Amino acid sequence: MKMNDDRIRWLADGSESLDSEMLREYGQPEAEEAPDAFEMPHPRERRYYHLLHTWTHRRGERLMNRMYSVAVVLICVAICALLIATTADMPRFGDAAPLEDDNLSEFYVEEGYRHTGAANIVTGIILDFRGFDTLGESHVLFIALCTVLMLLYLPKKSDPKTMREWLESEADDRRFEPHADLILQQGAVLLVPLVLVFGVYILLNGHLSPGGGFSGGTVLGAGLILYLLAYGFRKTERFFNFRTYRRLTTSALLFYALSKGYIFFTGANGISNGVGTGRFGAILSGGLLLPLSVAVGLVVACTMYVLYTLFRKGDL
Amino acid sequence: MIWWQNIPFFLVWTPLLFASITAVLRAKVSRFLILLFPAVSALLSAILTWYCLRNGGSFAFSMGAFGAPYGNELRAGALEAALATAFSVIMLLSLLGGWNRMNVQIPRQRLGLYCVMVMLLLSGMMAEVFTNDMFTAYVFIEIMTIAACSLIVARTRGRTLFAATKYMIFNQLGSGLFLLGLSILYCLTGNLLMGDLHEKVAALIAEGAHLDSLTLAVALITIGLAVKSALYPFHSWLPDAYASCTPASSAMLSSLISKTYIFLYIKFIVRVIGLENLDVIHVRPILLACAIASILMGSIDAILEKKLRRMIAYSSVAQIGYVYLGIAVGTELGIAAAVFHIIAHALAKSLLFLTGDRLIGASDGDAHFHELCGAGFRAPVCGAAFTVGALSIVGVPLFAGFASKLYLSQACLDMSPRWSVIGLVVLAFSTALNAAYFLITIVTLYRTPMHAYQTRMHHHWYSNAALAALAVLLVLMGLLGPGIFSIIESGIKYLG
Repeated sequence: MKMNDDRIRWLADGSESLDSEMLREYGQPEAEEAPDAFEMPHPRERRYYHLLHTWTHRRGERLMNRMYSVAVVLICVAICALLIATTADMPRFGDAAPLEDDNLSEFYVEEGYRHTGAANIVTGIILDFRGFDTLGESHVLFIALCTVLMLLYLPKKSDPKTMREWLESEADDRRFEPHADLILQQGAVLLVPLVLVFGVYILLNGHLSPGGGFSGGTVLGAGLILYLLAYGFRKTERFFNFRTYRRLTTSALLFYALSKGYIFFTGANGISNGVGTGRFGAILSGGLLLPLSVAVGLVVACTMYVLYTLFRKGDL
Repeated sequence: MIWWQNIPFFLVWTPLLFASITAVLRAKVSRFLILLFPAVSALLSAILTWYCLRNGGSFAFSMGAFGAPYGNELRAGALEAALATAFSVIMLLSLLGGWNRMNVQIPRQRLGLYCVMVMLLLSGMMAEVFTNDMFTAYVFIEIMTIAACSLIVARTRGRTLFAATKYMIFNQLGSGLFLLGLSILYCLTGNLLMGDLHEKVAALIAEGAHLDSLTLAVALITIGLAVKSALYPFHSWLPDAYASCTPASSAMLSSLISKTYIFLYIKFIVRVIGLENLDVIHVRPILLACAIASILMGSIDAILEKKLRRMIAYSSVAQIGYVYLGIAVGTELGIAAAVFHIIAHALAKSLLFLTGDRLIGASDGDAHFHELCGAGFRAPVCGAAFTVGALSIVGVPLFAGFASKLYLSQACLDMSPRWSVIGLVVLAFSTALNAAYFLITIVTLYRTPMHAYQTRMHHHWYSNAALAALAVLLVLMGLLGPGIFSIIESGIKYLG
């Protein structure tokens, strides 16, 4: 299990292995040959050579590094100036684009609600008009989470070494866990229900008022993390473990991809999809917007929470 | 809508759907799925190519019930379909060719996640090839960037962590620049659809309004995609990333991911800016200079390199320079030559990465050149396949590389006399440089070994078959060059 060892070492001493890699790449000049190794007949030549050699390896390198930093700053400032100058050339906020003739944004604002049934046109745009982009975007979250899992997840039941490592990280985590921090716990008692209910509210009202899947999911995730901070893993493990996470994320993404696929396919082929928009402004309206918001919200909440726990101890 | 016009949608959507399923399946099943999907997608896109060629033109697939400017849209023609076929076939063959090493080098508990990445990569590639919307392109660029990063990092050694960090920083910079350029473009035109963007950009240029902002937007997108596809001054992430990961990953990284970004850039140039407007934006001279620098410096770096896989990686920089040279010519012939070179190089480079790793394996895992002596005898299939790939990259007649260099030099003649002479001289000189390092490698492979080697690696017959298939495809592409080139040319007519 050489690879596993490497990973554990990487986890254990933080960024050290990366640092040493960087050092191997950039720093540490290879053992240089002493200047005397060459045949230098004239002492003066030897002295000049020596001077030049030491200068390059002491001052010269430092000088290059400094010049490099100065150049980086200069380039950044130049790019900033260029971008700011370009901003001045842009149409002002709220104005139409210089060539606005087919009125894309006007269509969204004035006609959008009729097509999507959503009072909050932002949700209508991201989940309906441009639903394909949002489908991709929620898979971005999913793939980012998968990458972090690949790097940081420590499965419990594997070889004894991983087991030991897992126990160590567990113990390490317990040290920082506030065992009975009364202020935090009492605060959490008040705040967590409020935060969770508010998150659910944002999720469910995404198509009616400002909010929607991404913001509601973030609030839910934050509420879960607060609960975890106050009461520790032993409480959260009872309702949210690795299997819950996998089932939730997969079923949410599956539902999302399937329903959007159905809508795309029927839409492009001119088949009626049988999804009505409902009464405008009611909670059960806007066709698939409500379940889609919930699906996105679940993915976002799981991602937030799991990212936090993975970075904390490599497990849920 | 006729039945075959639904194919692009299924090519993009099905892998996306199955990506989240793959995450919960057992690794054995998902390993089977990542072979099945590229195979099916190759078949479907071949069918699509056939119908597109027969019917001519290109068609749009609107994602949802709302028409094009309001919702997303896919667009497919012969060129996109042909590229999708090529990419799927190469993906399948790369996975098969690196199958054994992949199973050995990636820890068991990560294999399932690796399969998720491959599925999302396939979906992202297809989305980039078929999308007609710049923002969708950006979303799938993000997916591909993260997927590529974890393809590198799936095999953990100290080096891959370093390489993946470097890859991540550079590629996020590239995505950021792309997004910045895209937002400026959106601000100016109020559109994201490629066709509508083209009309607006043409109108802006005709009016002469906001030209500086337009130039900056194009420059940002160009630099962003150049960073992501490792054009010369931005290539420093490449050798580490390609040389340290498992061979299947490096084959896919070099032959698919960077090529997809280049094809997106080609679509941006042809479909959004329009070849006729290139000179107003002043993008050609810079591209030309970068391409030439890339061709020369990539080869020189490869000659100086002492390890086999890093040498192959540096030669990628040179080959990407050729593709950008074709784009910089700025005529339909140049673009067609660039696309042809994309396919030829993707085939050759995945073959080289797969065989290179096995040749190293046959030399007790030492990548230095002096240890490779006689590796061609120890691993005969790999030696032969490596030779075919290397000869194709050098541009020996009969192989695909020769045809693509021929078309590139024809395209160079479209430029002004001074530039065409420079282009031809660079092509000739770089061919000599390519020959310098690849022929030496081939000779090294067939020299007498310095000492006896222990390792005997077992490879399944299908791995060897995949390598043989890649080599045969290279020869076929060299022989059928004119036919494939005419398909590409007819596709480019409908790209704009």
